[in-house]
Amino acid sequence: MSGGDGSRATHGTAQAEPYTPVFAGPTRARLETLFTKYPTKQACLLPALWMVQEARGWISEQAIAEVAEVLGLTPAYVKGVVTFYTMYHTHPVGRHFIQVCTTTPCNICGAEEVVNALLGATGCGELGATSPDGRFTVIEVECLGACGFATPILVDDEFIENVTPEKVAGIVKRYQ
Amino acid sequence: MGYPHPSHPKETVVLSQHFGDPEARSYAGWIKRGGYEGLRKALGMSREAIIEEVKASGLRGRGGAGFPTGLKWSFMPKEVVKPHYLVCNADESEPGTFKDREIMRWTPHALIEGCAIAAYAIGAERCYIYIRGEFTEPWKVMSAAVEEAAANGALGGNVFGSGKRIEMVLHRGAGAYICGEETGMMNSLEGRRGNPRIKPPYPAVAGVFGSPTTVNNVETLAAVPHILIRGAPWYKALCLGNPKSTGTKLVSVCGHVQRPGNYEVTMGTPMRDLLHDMCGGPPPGRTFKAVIPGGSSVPIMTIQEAEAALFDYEGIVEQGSMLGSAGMIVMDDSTDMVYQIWRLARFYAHESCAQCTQCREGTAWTTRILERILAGKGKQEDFQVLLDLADNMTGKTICVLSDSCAAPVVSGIQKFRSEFEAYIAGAREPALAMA
Repeated sequence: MSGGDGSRATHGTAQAEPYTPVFAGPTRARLETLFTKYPTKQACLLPALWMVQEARGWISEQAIAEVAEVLGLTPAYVKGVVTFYTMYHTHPVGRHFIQVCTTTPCNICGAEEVVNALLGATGCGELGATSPDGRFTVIEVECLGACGFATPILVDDEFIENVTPEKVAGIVKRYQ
Repeated sequence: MGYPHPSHPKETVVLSQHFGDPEARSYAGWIKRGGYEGLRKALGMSREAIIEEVKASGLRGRGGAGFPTGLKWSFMPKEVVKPHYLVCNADESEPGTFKDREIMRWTPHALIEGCAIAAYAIGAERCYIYIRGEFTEPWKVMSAAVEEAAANGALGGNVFGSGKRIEMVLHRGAGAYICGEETGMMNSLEGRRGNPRIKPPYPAVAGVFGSPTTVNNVETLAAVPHILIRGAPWYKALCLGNPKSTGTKLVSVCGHVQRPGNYEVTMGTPMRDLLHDMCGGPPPGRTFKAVIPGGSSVPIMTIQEAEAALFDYEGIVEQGSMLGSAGMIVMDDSTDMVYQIWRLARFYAHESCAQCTQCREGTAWTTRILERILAGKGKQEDFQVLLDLADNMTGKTICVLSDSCAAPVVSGIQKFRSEFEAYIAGAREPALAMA
């Protein structure tokens, strides 16, 4: 569902800079603590990828190589896992990442109108693209598990229920 | 209670009693409400006695399959040779279902207590709670609760001074419906792609990390403390006539009803009561048309079938569908059934892990053919192609994702064929433009 090359242009310079490891200092310590909670290091792969995304906003090829190194896996294996899960970003996204549920229960309650309102209010124009100011990326997602509160959206880590097209402008304003 | 609405007199409030009450989230607040008494009682019982009690209660898995919980626990080896694991399935992603989310948001300690009892009963010292990545608020609430429970001796190396070790680890998913399937979840927990595994071996023999494992749903585990405190006979008596379905069930109702929410009912409650009394009927000026009663993976019911059904495992089967996860998607007469069936097919195509050909190809082709029909370019032969595809997608794959895609398509064609015909005949404006 996600994608769109528009987002790459905004952050294009990030890749040219030298790579700074994620797993140093306190982040490394957090990972070491996690190692004690699983019988294998590999089991820490999903948590480690979350830590990368938390720190960098997305998961780059260099980060994949670092995670592989830290967990004793190959970069190809790690990439295979990263690309299986839809929540890991394999390219940079806007500063605020907005996910809108449009699966059937929300769809019958008008989720597609919420998507259109969000694409307009954020300036993203199309799904998966980042707004020209680099602030927003909007994507459609499958069921967010809050069907009784249609339409739910997830802005970064904030879960917002009962969104209607009328409420969109006010929500977007809070993140500008 | 029908959170976010006040409790309805036709509900039987057990698990949802404290929904909406922020005080119940804290350890102290939970203790004040009688919390952790079930765990204390369990720690004084033998593993076998707990399993027998849960068996006698008739509790069945609330995640969708309805497998008897006590029986599942009894499959775990008696002797602990390799470490045993309990995995709590909190990956709630079935469209229409949002009950586990409320349990975790409002009563996190109910789940922790249920997990601790189950872990002890199956001989596990560690429980992983796999929470879907999108559940940011339940994650925060559960993290705080696990920490508080450990600080108060309800978890850790010496639970309530019993000498028993029970550790709890929260594990965050990252966006994959299929990880709600228990073997996909185990792969994900091991740091792999969430592809389901072929069974056997069953999880009780070789589950996560190759060890004996039990996977239980959030709602199932949250019911366990109540069973231990009030006894199996009390739970078994929560039943309106059919002794195979006992206890209360949280029913998530969404879509075209006046009061969507989570309603807790005794098994066997007429679905008509749920639709009309608890949920307040259809929106003004509308009439009900269809209900998908058990999350999106079960056959669609016409409103006549739904209104005739009793809400329990067998009652819904009698009317041609399944209870599943009890996520009821209600559709009124404004609903374009073809469009919504297409939207469901698209969901399954997106979520297919793609390891089985029937599912990878079947979900994608089903979606494309429905798209063609919606674009006004459908043909009469499409009915047969869709049904043939569905036949090849049912009972032929490692897990049931492709069966789940076939169920709404087949039932949709059977029950709402005229709506498909209208698009094919050009009697209805195309709803989609074909790329």
